[in-house]
Amino acid sequence: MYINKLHLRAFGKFSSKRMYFGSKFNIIYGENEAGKSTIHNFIEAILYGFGEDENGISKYNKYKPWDNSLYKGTLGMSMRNGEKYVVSKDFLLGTIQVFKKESSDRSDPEMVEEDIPSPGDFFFNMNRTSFRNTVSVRQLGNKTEQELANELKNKIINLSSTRDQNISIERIFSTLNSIKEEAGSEDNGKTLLGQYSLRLSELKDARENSVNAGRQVMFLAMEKRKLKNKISELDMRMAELKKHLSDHELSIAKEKFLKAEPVKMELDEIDKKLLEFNHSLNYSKEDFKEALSLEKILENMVGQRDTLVQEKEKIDSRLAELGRDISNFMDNSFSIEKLNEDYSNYKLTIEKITDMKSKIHMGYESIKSIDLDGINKFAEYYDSVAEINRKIGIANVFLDEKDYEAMKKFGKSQGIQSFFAVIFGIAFLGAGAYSCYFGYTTNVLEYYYGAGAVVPAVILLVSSSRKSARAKSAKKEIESMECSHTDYKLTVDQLENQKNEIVKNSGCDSLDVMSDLYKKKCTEKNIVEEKLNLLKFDEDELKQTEEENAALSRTLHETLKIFAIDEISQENIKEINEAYARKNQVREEASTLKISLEQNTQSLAKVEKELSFEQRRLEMILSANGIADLENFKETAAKYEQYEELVKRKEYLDNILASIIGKEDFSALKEKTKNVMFYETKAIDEQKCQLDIFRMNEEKSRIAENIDNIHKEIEDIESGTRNLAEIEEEMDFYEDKINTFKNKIKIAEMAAEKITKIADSIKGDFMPLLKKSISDNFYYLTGGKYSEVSFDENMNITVVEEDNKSRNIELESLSGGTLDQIYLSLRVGLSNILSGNQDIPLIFDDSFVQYDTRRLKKSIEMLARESERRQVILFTCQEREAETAKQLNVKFNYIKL
Amino acid sequence: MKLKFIHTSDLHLGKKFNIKNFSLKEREKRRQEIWDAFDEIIRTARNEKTEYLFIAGDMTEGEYINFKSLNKIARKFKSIEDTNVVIVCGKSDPYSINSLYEYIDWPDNVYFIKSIESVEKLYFPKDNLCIHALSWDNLKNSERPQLIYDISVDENKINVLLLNCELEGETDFTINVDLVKNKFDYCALGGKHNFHSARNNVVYCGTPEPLNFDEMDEHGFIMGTIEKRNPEYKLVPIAKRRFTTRDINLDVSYSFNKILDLIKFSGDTFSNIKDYVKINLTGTVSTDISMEEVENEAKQFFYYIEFEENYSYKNAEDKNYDSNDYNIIESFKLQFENHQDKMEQQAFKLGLEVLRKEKVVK
Repeated sequence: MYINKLHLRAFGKFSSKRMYFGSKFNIIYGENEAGKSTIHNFIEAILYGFGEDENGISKYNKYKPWDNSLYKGTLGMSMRNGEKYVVSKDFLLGTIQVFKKESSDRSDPEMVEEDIPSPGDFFFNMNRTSFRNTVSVRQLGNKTEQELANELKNKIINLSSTRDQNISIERIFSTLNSIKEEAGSEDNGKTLLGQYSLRLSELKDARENSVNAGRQVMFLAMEKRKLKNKISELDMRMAELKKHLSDHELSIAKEKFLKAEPVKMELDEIDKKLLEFNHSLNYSKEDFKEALSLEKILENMVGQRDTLVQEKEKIDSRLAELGRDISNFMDNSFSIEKLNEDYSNYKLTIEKITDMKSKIHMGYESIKSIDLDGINKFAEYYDSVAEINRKIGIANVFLDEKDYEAMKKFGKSQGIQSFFAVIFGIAFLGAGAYSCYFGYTTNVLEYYYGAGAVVPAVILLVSSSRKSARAKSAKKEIESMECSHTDYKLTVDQLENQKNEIVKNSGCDSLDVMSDLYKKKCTEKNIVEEKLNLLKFDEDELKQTEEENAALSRTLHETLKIFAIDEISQENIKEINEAYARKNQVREEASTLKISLEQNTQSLAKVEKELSFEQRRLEMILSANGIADLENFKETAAKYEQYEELVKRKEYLDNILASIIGKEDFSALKEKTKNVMFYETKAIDEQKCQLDIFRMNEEKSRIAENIDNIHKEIEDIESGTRNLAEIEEEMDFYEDKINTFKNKIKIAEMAAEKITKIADSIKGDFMPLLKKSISDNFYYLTGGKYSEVSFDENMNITVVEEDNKSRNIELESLSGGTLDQIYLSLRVGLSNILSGNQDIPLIFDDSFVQYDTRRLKKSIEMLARESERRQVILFTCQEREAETAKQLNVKFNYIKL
Repeated sequence: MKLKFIHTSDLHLGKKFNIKNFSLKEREKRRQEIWDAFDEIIRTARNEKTEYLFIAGDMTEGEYINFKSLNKIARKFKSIEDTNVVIVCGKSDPYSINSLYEYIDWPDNVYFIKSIESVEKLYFPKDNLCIHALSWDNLKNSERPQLIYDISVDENKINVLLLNCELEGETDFTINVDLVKNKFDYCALGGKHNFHSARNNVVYCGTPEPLNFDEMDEHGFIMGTIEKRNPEYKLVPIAKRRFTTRDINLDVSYSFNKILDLIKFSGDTFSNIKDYVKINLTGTVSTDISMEEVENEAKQFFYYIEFEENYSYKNAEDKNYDSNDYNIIESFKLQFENHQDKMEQQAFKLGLEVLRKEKVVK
């Protein structure tokens, strides 16, 4: 079969690219990036779909046209029998169609669609992997002959045992073995399994211990149970003994009860009485005693208080007395010397006053005979006469004529002056008026100057007026003077009459007599007045002395007023002097008394306070006992004595009762013995019973101690033993681990077993086939130079020359070209085996790029030979393959991209 | 008069855990959580002033409980002296002379039913309550059900049956519920680990803390009141964790991340970080996916997770090459075809991995 055409409708960079292949040798030349690999991958994609590249990435996207909505192509395949197939694939939709044309007749266009989902499998009878390993040959490395020989050897060995040149059975077993080794074995303590096994065995021991400990605990628990039973037994026995004792005790108790009953009855009676008392005698005996003692104390205290009060009164009265003493009024400013001096002066002034008064009296007596009034009256008359004489003199003055004449002259002169003045005035005025008239009529200005005469006219007229007035007033004055003159004359006459009358009245005949008498009387009067003046002087002195006396009297009175003394007397002064003398004594006494008074007051206050306190105490005691007063208390106390007697009786009976029943309660005793009808106080060995009980109790304690010990022992055992559940869980855990590892080993062994089986099968079935196929192809490719490729049991690979079959040549000894021939033989042989000896095409993609010319030539020769049997498609980026083929005269279909 | 009661059973204190995937630490923790549940019951009895605490068997794991722990239980009971505690023995803590129960000084408020051959009647005159109870021993006795059927009850009293038994199947202690339901005012049963009301007055309280993946749903104890013909009760959930099983059906086309997401989001997040989760994986998984890795990765998101691997591996390129048995890998696959045995599956997976690795590396 061969690929006859490709139509890359839209694939990678190609669009509607058609290519036609020959059935034999095809060389497709294209430079790098021309699309050789694209075409190679297109073939694979059509046959097997998109595989993954070296990086595991699908090539789908790599070849998806970026400028075309389509992604499809077709591949034509021709069979040797003339059948033709067209495989069309839409990569976008993932659909594939295979059409078959039965006849080779070109005119028959009938195509039948076949249901072929995987064309690669269908045509080549192999999967993608096999396709890649056989049909499709990518670039071959420029390996040394040694490397190539080794690679070939490995591939053949691998193929012989795994049918895969890349899978080494040795490495697989090694990997599986490593799993087993990792787990190890239970016998080897250094491996995991060994360690787990060891741990498991330890745990088994621990479990054994734990189980044994459990048994031990159970045994101890049973022991404890037995001991508890013993305790119960002891309890029963003790209960029995206690019952005996109790019965005995009850009998005794009954006896006691019967003895005690009458005593108790009497006691109850007393109690009743006491109860009655208790109602009224609800007081404290101690309080009563206290109250009585308080009563005495209070009496004493009242006496004490009264004494103190009396004392106080005495002191008070004495103090009042002392307080009244005038010496108390003497303060520091008081001076007794001054008082005495004042008083002595006072006495002297009084004496002086008395003396002077008598002297004045005598003086007045001496002038008593002189009529001073008569003298004075005469003097008065004389004075009146003198006065009248003076007045007459004055009136005579006014009657003088000089002034009267002068006045007349003056009046006359003034009248004349006024007349002339008027005349001249009018003249000047007329002159002026004429001048003006003349001026007016003549109209000469100079005439108007004559008007100036008016001014003197006016002055003269005014002066005339004044002088006229003066002349008038002088006239009036003269008239008045004439009246006065008349009056004065009249007056002088009257005065003369009065004078004469007076002189006559004075007993004198004339004024001269009167004047002489007057002089005589005046001398007499002067003497009297001299004496009066002396008397006045004495009176003044008296007055001064009296004032002095009064001042002293005031001073003394003021001083005496301090002492509440009104009268200034010798006695009083004496008294004051005495008081002054005793002043200090009085003060000292008063001070002493005050201290005493203070002490007395304090004592009294204290006594009062104590008294009040005791009284309150007494009141409290009384009120606490509900008693109004002490008398009632005394009455109650009397009752109390009766009560005490009853109490004593009760105590006595109580003692009797206690001696009968001991500390036991009578009611309890009664209750206890109420059901004891018959009793007998037969003697039992109570002591023995008690001793037995005591021993049993001891036994019980000992057993209880044993039980405690058992508890401790159990505790010790359990705390020293691991929990069984934990141990077993750990055992399970390690058993699981061991099983897991064992399973792993088993699984690895199973896998290894299967793989061994397959490998053996491959060795048995496939290896001879492979050997023959390689040998056949090698023979063919070498043109019969080498007859076969031989493998021995140890997988040593050699080749045998046709000419010398006895000689096996090691691969390492072969040339690179021969090794290439073996390599191609291997691939072709494999493809033959896989495809069932179909002449499936071989595709080489830049396989010889790194080959030198000689080796390339050999390779081209080899391919040319192979192309006689099957289609060979060689993709190359160099032209030398085509050139070499041409040189070798090899026919080939040349396609240039 | 309504009597307050708590009904519990199957605590299995001191239990040994057989859950393969539980770490030793987890087992210890779980054991402690059961003790915590017991403490909670005691606390509730005290706080609620419960008059009766019925323990219907399997209070402890007889084989594993020790003396110290039993004394601890006795002390706890003593702390609720106003509550009458009535205990019967079950299959896990059968009563016998060799049982440590026998040697513990139970406080006065504890009534330990030691009767194994006849039904014990426990009468509380104060409450007019008569409890009919029977304990398990470790001997076979097919007559037991008849003992229960033969109980005669005084109709004037409140009658309670306290028993560790089965209601289905054919065991030594399977009783017919119809024969007891009318006799008793309340049947406090133990022996089934899930809460179940067979009738209104016939109740399994279940375990306070679930013990394995068969015991799903809510767990706690029953609290209620009882009077003649009228029991009222409710389940008080106290379990700290639940056991949940989730089924995930896989497909050969599922990627690593998809499978991981399916596991991650199979339940609510709160449950994931608290509960014990078992994922039952079924269907087919591509041989390209390492389920071991998926499971390891999934553990990051769960408090506890385990897997039940009920899936099978399948080649992603599941093609039949007929006679084309060229490659060893293909031959290897053929060798294991139709093998459902788990070991074989694992061997297949391992061989395939090794072969593939070889192919890829070289």
